[in-house]
Amino acid sequence: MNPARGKPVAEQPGVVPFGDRALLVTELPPGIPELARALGRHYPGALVVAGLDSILVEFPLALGTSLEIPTPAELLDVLHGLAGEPAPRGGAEHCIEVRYDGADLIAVAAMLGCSAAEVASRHQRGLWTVAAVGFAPGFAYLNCDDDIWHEVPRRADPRRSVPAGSVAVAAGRCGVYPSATPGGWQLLGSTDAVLFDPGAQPPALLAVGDRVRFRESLQ
Amino acid sequence: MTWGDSIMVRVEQLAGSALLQDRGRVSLVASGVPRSGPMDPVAHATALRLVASEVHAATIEVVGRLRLRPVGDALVLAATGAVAIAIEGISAAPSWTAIQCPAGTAVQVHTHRGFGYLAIAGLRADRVLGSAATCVLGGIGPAPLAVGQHLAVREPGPAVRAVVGSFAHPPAPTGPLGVVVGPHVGLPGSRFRVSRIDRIGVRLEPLGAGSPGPGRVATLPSLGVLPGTIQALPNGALVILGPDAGTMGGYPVAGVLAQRDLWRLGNLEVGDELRLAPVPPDPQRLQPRPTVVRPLV
Repeated sequence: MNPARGKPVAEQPGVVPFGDRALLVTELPPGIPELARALGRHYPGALVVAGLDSILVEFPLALGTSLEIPTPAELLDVLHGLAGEPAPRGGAEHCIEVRYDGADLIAVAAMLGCSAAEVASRHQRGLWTVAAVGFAPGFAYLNCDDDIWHEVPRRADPRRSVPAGSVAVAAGRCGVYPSATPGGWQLLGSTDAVLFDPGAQPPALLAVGDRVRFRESLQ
Repeated sequence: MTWGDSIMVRVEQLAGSALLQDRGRVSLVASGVPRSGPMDPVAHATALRLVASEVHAATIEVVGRLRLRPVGDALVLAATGAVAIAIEGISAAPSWTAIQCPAGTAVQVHTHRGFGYLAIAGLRADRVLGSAATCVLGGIGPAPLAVGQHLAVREPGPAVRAVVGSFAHPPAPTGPLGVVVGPHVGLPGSRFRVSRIDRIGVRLEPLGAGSPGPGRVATLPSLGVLPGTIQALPNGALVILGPDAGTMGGYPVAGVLAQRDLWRLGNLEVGDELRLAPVPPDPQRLQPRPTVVRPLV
């Protein structure tokens, strides 16, 4: 996992206001998922959204309660304290079965200079980590320990609708579309895994910090 | 008569959209679930107060014209926002006021601009992920209202039947919308025209000298965003995110709408001209509350 790829790793996080009731933490060292979870534990009631290179911490207005909003300097102090704590690795492990039948599989193979079968095998060998959840309900941004996926760009022409269950890669990341949405990532295959179930608790299968392996479906 | 008996309300006509909205589902942003909730939280909350409903109850958010007919018993209801409300056989009824609609008599709500809210005392709504709010992104929550559908309503008790109250409209929103500027780029000017409105976002085109500065980045690594976040598009347009926007975005953020002005997103029309003005972040800025002109009797 290399979230700071292409940029020097900052020594010091930055904290800036994001509207009246939120603070954005930027310039973060690696380990954003762990830090986001630690912030959530430190500020019960706050809404913490891990971004790909930032963390948004919102202190929502709830009726009848007044959640104190820290100043940027106070949040920075908290971050330094949390950085000193041993970060619990946490995170669940998932295995997602994939049919490597995606519309862009051949194109991705050409980009990587290998065969479609080798693309599928490399995709399965990678250890993928959930860096962020967003874009659509249950959509997870997965980082890989294999840098080769950075050689696959987004499609120049995004699709108006990507089918639910599509397994796609772009710009070093992989994602599984929980529902049909517009999308610009390259489709490698499809899965029957349910990424978002309103009846489940939590409704999203994948959470920030979880680890994912993909396996070719034998069906 | 007991609280718990149900009456039905038939959706008789709909030109536009009608969605159930309550305060939304904020606690699921880590699963990528949008917050949802009303475009105009002030009008929504006022409608609920008028019919003596709980703060977490649902209203019907209307754009256009909605006609309902209660079957079985009378309704206590209130419409807020820039709306006209009429009871069949009676001339126009007042908005921002609790009124009674006799059984079998149709009630029609028509929005002049923006989003209107119809609160019905005892309206039942199915909850999905803890909320009755319909999210247009991903289709979470109850389906949009459709002609022929029946809504269930608990029969109002005598206390609610006695409710007759009225609120003043909030002051007409004419001043600039306050914006806490940044963190990525500044505002590309101060005057804008509204070019698109939906629950995912309000798109603004700059007027006059505003233009994107040289060297602007087109996209960033995706970051957490919230309703009121103002995204700067590469062509100089802005999008102010609404309650159904995704929880992450990749466009540079030019600012976040001040909390106290967020309700004004629900009062805009395509073609409106508006100004954005920088304000310092102020955690104490609460939403304005409309003032009671006629206390509940």
